[in-house]
Amino acid sequence: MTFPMFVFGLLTVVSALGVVFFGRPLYSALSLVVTLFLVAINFALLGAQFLAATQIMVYAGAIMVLVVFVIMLLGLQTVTPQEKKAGYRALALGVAIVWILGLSQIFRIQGTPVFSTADLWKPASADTVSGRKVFIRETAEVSNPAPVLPGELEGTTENIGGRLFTKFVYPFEVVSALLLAAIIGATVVAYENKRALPLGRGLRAKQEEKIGQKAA
Amino acid sequence: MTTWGNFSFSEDLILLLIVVVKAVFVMLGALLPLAAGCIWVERKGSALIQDRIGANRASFWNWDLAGAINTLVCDPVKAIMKEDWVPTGANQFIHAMGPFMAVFPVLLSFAVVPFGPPFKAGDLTVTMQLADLNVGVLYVFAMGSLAVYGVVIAGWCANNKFSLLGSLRASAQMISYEVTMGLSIVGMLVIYRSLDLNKIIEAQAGTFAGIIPRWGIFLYPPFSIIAFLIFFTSMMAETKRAPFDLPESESEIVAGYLTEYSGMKFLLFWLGEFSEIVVASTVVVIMFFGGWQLPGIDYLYWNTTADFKHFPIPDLAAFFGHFQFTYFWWNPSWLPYGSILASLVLLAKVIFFCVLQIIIRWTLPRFRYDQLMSLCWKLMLPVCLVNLVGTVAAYLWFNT
Amino acid sequence: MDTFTFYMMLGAALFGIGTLGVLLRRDAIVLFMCIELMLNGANLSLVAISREFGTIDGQVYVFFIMAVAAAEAAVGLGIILSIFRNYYTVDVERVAMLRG
Repeated sequence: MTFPMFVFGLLTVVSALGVVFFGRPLYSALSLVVTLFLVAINFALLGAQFLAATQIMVYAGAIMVLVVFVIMLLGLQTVTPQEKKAGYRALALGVAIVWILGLSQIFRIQGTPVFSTADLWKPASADTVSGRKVFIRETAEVSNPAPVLPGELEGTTENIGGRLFTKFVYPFEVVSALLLAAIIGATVVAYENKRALPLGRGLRAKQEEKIGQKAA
Repeated sequence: MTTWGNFSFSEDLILLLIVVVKAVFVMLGALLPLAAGCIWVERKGSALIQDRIGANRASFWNWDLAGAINTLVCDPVKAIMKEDWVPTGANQFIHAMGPFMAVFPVLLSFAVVPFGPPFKAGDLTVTMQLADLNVGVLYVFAMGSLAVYGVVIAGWCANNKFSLLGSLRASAQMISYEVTMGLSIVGMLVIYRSLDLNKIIEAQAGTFAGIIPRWGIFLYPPFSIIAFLIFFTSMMAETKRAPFDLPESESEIVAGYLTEYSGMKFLLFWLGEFSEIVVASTVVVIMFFGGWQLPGIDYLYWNTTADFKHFPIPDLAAFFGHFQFTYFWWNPSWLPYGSILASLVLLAKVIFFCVLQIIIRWTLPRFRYDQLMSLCWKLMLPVCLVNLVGTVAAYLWFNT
Repeated sequence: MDTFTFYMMLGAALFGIGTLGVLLRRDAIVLFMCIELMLNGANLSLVAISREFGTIDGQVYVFFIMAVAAAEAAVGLGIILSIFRNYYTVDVERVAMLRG
């Protein structure tokens, strides 16, 4: 783990916390855009360049635009309700912490636990790989001695395209049918039925009352 | 060498610093001057087209420079001095984020533009690019799709119905034209067989019969010309430019999503828009007009032999490049004359297309909104698809 | 800590924070965003695993997950819009007509 990896990982966690803990939905949406951008940077640091560009284009550039549109159209500016029932928050926090720790402890390096402070005090090792300097330089690792992917396994367009159209061609075709179905479905679901009553303020108050009575 | 646990600070930081210096050089030396030049050409050029004089009140001891002082000196100073206010009821933080999110993806997308062929400096090969990505074209489109946020956020947070209307229209227009923009390029990518911008330019080397350069627009003629027209139009619509500028038009909805912005924030939006013009022109030149290729000039010949290490300014090699390379069979260069000439050729072509976009803006009347959207979905998208099929069919016909 | 472990932990952290968000928030749109966060945690873990085992299949899986997430976003936001039109709120505690 190098310094850039650590910094971008920390920033990702911070902006993810921003998604959850901001009161206004627009701030949550913008935090999520930042998080997705940072996840794309993490993909690039892992060598998955095609996925990094696709992540920015699809997730941060299309899905989140849709979410921001919806927030804009619904006019959700005010602070939205959060769970306030007693004990729920503590329970949620406990579940999340147990989950993270549990998933992390699965990965043990040759029998020793991951959070070993002995690792932090090792001196930095050689920074050349086979005689040439690399920009994203990694120190010698315990279990993974090859820091740079071999040529044919980098996440380039050619490699992913090749795999996509040979081994994964059937899921590829199925996903395109799925996307078509989703487009049609989304259009049908979001279609505003003009024959329904246009609800003005008086009717809206009545609606709120009706919901309030049912919940009470 | 300072260490902090397993991290080693100094090497990584120095390399990061080099990249930052290179970024500043590219931005301040290439993109922003071109954008500022475009702003000046727009103001004076529009005056010439409309048969008027234009801005001529500011002069430097009676030396007018064709309105350049007015545009490039007085306007920014005035904008910086203006009071920076936020309308009541608007969200202050988001109001300030609007210009930032409009400008930042545009500046980022200039990082993959190759200014010339790579040259050797000692035992390093230096690419004349800020970031030599394998997925260069995809990166440019990804940054283009991030540019929608500036518009959406700016229009919505201003607590103003004109702004909201403008931003809704603008964002719908932008995401519609992103589709045709990407689809029109796919045919050319099939011909070039790569997304890397360096390789795309290198695939356009040479000439047909010694006269016609083997540029993108001359390969498989009817299909690539249609692709160029669709891509150029989509780029102008994506950047809300030219006849597609309904979202920010002054005669229709006050200033659309820019209504509540004044002073430096407005100028930042403008800077973003003109930087988008430069980026759009650059992408068009790289994909269709050969980038820095000019028929009959072999740039490698001009990168003559000398030892770059003896260049008087120390560490110029470190100034330009990072440290992971492949090794070419060229000779190491003294001053890379070939690459410098190539970057000048690229800049000349980019300037030509910027001026072309400005002329188109001041020549054509504006589209109505429904005409705009039906142009995209009912005309350009089917033509794009047919063109893609045709390009691939022509490529396979001639190459198997 | 090597790269693989770090990115597995980061993926787990993103997933856990997304879970926290789903449990804590009542706003349907923020819930949706936290689900996207969980998907991204899974994506990051997949890429790290595919790199560790020297294959590129994990990245192709991530590609498919992105496509499916886009489809899910479109349909899910359409549903949220319809709910808003009928209930004038996106609070999932209030949209409770099926509660017995």
